[in-house]
Order: sequence, then C-alpha cells, then structure tokens
Amino acid sequence: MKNMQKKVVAFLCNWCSYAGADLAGVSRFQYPPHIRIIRIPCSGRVDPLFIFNALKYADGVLVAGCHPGDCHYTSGNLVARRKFALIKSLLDFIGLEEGRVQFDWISAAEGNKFAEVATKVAGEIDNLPQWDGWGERK
Amino acid sequence: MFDYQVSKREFQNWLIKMQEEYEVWAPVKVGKNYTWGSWDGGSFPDEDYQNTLKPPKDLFFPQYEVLLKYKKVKGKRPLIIEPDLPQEKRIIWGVRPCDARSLTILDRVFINKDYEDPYYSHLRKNTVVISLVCQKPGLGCFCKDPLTIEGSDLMLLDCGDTYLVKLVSVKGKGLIKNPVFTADKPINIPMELPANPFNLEIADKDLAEKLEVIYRSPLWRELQEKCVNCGVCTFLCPTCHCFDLTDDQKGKKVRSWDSCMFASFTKQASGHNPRPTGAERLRQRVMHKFRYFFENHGIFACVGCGRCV
Amino acid sequence: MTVLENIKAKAKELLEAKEVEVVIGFAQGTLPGKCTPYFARTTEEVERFVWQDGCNLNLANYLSKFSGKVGIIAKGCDTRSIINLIKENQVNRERIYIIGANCPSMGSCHNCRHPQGVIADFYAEQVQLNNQDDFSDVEAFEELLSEERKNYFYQEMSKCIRCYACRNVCPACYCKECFVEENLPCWLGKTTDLADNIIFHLTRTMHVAGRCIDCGACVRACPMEVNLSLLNRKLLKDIQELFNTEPGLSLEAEPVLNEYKEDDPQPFLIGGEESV
Repeated sequence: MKNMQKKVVAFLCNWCSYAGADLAGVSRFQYPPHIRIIRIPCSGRVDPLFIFNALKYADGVLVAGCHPGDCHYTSGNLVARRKFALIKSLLDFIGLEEGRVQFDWISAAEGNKFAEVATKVAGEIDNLPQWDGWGERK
Repeated sequence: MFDYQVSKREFQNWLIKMQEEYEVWAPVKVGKNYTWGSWDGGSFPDEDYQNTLKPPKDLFFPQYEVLLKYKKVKGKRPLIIEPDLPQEKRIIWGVRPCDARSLTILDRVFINKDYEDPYYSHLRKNTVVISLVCQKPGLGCFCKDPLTIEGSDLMLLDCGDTYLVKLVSVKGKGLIKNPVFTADKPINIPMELPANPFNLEIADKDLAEKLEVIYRSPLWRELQEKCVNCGVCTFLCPTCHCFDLTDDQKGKKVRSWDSCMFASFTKQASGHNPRPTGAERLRQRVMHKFRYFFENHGIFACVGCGRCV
Repeated sequence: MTVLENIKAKAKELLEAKEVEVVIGFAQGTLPGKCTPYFARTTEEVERFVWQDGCNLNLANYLSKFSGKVGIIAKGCDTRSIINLIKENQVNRERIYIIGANCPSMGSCHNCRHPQGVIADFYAEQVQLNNQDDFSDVEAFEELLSEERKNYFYQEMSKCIRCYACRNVCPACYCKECFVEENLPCWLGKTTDLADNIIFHLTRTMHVAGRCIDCGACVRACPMEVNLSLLNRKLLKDIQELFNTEPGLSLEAEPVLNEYKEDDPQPFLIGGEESV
C-alpha cells in the first residue's frame, strides 16, 4: 500500500499531547498508522536539529505541545513558540512544501483532536509529491 | 621541450573521442570559481582560470570513502563485503603542474614498499593526468618550478590557438596514437613564462634542521593567535592526507578526511589531549610538512599552490 | 588626528598603564587589500595597526582566547557581538576595554545598518553613520517560486565541503562540543552528501538565530563561496517583523529567543493563527 511507505514523525510533549494521543488510543479514535511518535518532556525540548534530521528519514514532521499557558514546566512552550515560528519560516523560505512540517497545541484531554490532527496531517503529507529526503532518495 | 603542437579544435575532437572510453574530468566554472567536474565536451578554461578551488586529491582520495561493509550473521562471524573498486578509466585535464606534483607526494604515503593502499592505487592506475602550464602566477603561489613534469602524464602549454603537448610518461604515450599528434622535431617554448612572484626559496634543504631548533619557541603561540583552527587549509591542501576511520551506522567502515587543526584530532579516550591548544596544532602542521615528511621521504609535503595563503 | 592615530594613541596609553595586556586590532595582510588580525602587546607593536578597507573580520571571536584584560578595536558588528557575548556570560564586561570606531570596510557589507560601535569605552571618532537595511535581497528571493528557491538552495548546499570555517570564525558559535561532533547520538554523518550539508547549515542557522548580527565573517571565510548570508538574513528579517527587535543592540535586552511574550505571533499553527 502506498501509504504504508510514508512515515510521519510526531514529537509529542509528555504531559499534554502524548497523553492526548494515549487518550485517543484508549477511546478507540482511529488515526493513521504511519504516524510514528517520539515522546519528549516538553515542546521546548525540540531542537531544530530534530526536525531537520527527521526529514532525512521521514516524509513529514508533526510537533505538538501543551497550550500556551498550560505548560507543565510553565514556560517551555512559550519559549518554543518563537523557535517554531522561525523554523517554519525558514523551511518555507528554502522551498520546502507547505504542510510537510506542522505544529499544533493539543492538550491531554483532547483525544479526538489528536486523532483529527494526526489524520489531517498524515493525509496532507500523503498528498504531497514524493519527498526526496534532502536529496538522499530520488 | 615540447613534442607536439595541436590546434585546440583538434585537441577537443581528440578528447571527445577519448570520452568514449574514458571518463573525462576538467575544471568546470561555477559562478566565478572553478571546481572539478565532468567535462562537457566543449568548454575550455578561460583566461582568468588560475586554479580550482579544491585540488584534484578528491578524485583519488575521496573525502568520504566506504572501505568495506559488514553484516551480522546469526551464530557466525560477520560477513565482510568488500566494495567493488570503480572500474572506469579516467582522464583529468587542466590540472596545474603543482597539483599534478602533489599526486606524487600522496603516492609516497599511500603506495610504498610496506603497503599499497588498494583504493588509492586503483584510482591512480586508472587515471591519466594531463596538466596545463600556468600562464601567470596566482596571488598566493609560491611553487618552485612552474614547469615541473612530476605527476603529469601529458603536459599542455596554451599558445592561443594551439596547445603544445609534451609526453611525460608511458601512460601518456599510450594515449597518443591518434594521427592528430605529429611532429618532426622538438618544439621550444615560444614565450617567456613569468618567474616565481615571491622570489622565495621555500625548498631550503636546511629547513628541517632549523625547524627542529625552534620547536619550543614562543613563535608558535604568536603565530596561532589569529588562527581559528577551522581546518580549511587542510581541506584545500593538495598534499594533506590525514584521515579518520569510523564505523557508519549501517554496517560500513568508512574513511573520511580529518584535520590536525581540529582539537579532537588528538583527543584521547581518557580526555587528555597532547595538542591542547592551537599553537601545538599549528606547529604540528608545519613540522609534518617541512620536517617529518622531509626526514621520512626526502621532500617537503608542500607544492606551493598557495591555496592556504 | 585621524581615526587611526586616535586608536593607536589610546592603545598605547592602555598598554603603558598596564590596564590591558594585549590590544586586538588589524595589521596589514600579506595579500593586497587584505588585513590580518594583530595582537599588540607593546607600544612598538601598536604602530603596526591599520584601519582601512579590508579590516572586515569579526574580532570578537578572539576574546575568549585571552584570559586576562584585553583591549579590542571594535567596529559596529564587533561591538554587537561583544554585547551578545556579555549577555550570554561568555565574556566579562570588566575585563575588556572597547575602542570603538566606524567600520572602514563598508564596501564589503552592503546592508550594514550599524557601522559605528554600539558600545565602547572610548570612541576614536565621532561620526555617526546609519544605513537603512531593507532586506531587499531576502525579499527578492522570497518572490521566486518555491521550486526555484529549493533548486537554488540545493545547489548552494552541494558546494559545501564541511570544513566548518563558517562555524569557527563565528563569534556566536562557541560551544565546546558542536552538535556535529557529537557521537552519542551521531546526528550528522561525516559525508559531504547534500542531506548532511543541508541539515548542518539549517541547524547552524537556527542555533545562531537571534544571536547572529550579520557580520559576514562566515561568508568571507567560506572557501567555496556558499551563500550563507541569505539564510542568516532571512531570520534577521523574521525576527524584526515577528518580534520587533534587533539582536545585539543593548546590554539590557534579553536575547530574543530566550524570552517570550504572552501575545507572541503563532503563524506556524495548523489552521493558521489561533488566539491563545
């Protein structure tokens, strides 16, 4: 199946979005299987290096954290916000397709939102042209 | 003394014919600078061509080379797969004499009586080097002999519409079977070639002894104050050859360029570093090129190309 | 007195009074039009200082090499780097003496907004120059189609030979162990494959974001003439537009990626900007 070969790496913060994904699983909300989750303590932990490196091997990246104001570490996601804005702008600047790297805030109670977002992101990435992994694959 | 004179058109046609059998590499203009690339069959280096940004050592000693691959086999010793050595025959032309000479210096490292590096020597055997004499010295050049034939198989001199061709080696002679190359008498160089602009004697035989004397001098600390240990000098130097052997993640043993300018070059597992500051590393580079190499091989590991300058 | 005479007089004064051990400046280089960093320790050595076109390296990079008191002849970009280094606790304000002067090498940096020193203990000249930077080069690039931008970017990145000169001359890159040298985990291969080059440059650009002051040292140091300024200036433009600030101008301001505001823009969110 074509979809099975595409991979989307999802960096989820432990306290909110990962818990949200967990809730989606427990509540049986379906989301595509090619979302591969990596649990990080906080969205503020995301070094731009993770995203760029993930794109070498995967076809897309999703980064999700707590809603601003609800960060378990108080200000992790607030500091991350500025970084994300710059990362997105930079990737767009160098010609990366819109939709390949996406960010969102998902809380621990939003299991259905996680499923929706995951489905939406995976669907959009599936529809994008074949990704060349920064020139690694052709 | 040159042996043949051919028009540039004839030379181009001959080289295009050679392309059927050989891979032809030439200096390719990218922006304002020249780098090594596949010859497109038509372009010749412009008048402003001084030298390529990177030396041709890449073509013989790649920056990243897979030496062998290995696979785990359950219950048995790992399976070792040696990569196929590239079989293409190559011609590289447009090499400056200094860079061609650097290949003979690299030969002393990789092909000697104790050991012959199969990867390097294979590439070397399969490649014909056609050098092109410089019309004028570059800004940083300090070579001793702009007409040196060491390392070249054929040597060209640009005379406007024609090239003078000199046969240097047996390999070169083997290429010239084409009737385009005919001459009945040896040809002298028709013009005055400019001399070394710096008028320096770098190949001073006593240099090695002098370096030994100043080993502990505070001069090294002064010299390295402005050096940021970036390593560009080692990357661009045609004779620098230090490398690192590592295992890549997917079961490959690779050889990649390393630089004595980097702090981690001599960092040991205990954390101790015998060359802790840039002063020791700069001294090491100079000593290696002009003293240790001289003591081991009788020549300096420097051709005066001027890229480091 | 000319600027250079002012600089030399002050440097000699500092050395004689033993207020500093060494003064960092420029001397004539060996190639025409080039100047080289020079470290004067005596009044005789001060005589070798020059201040002319070609003095365009970022000298703040050398501050960490000296542990005692140092003087530095700083033009605009140097002073902004020094401010950033002080804010990040890499350099102690008390141990440096800044001799500020306008940049003599304006020809090489067309977009410079602050050729004069932003902070100094002594100004060697009073003329205040102020250029307007409109980021027109970045905007022109943004006008291209995304396919064209990607092709250009890939082409530039394939020129890189991973010599790390850009990283080594940058005053903002002072990590003892750079991410490229990490082995556990190994983020980047040692190859000069396009993918590794791209990841290196994108990550370095993001790591210096908000701290890069566009001094151009990386561009000049690159032996393959990779167009690094495009990436760095794009982020400078974004920081100006999104957060309304410019790095390295004041000692009191927090580094831009260290702080946050309640109403920071969120243009990156799925579905566009959402209210917090």
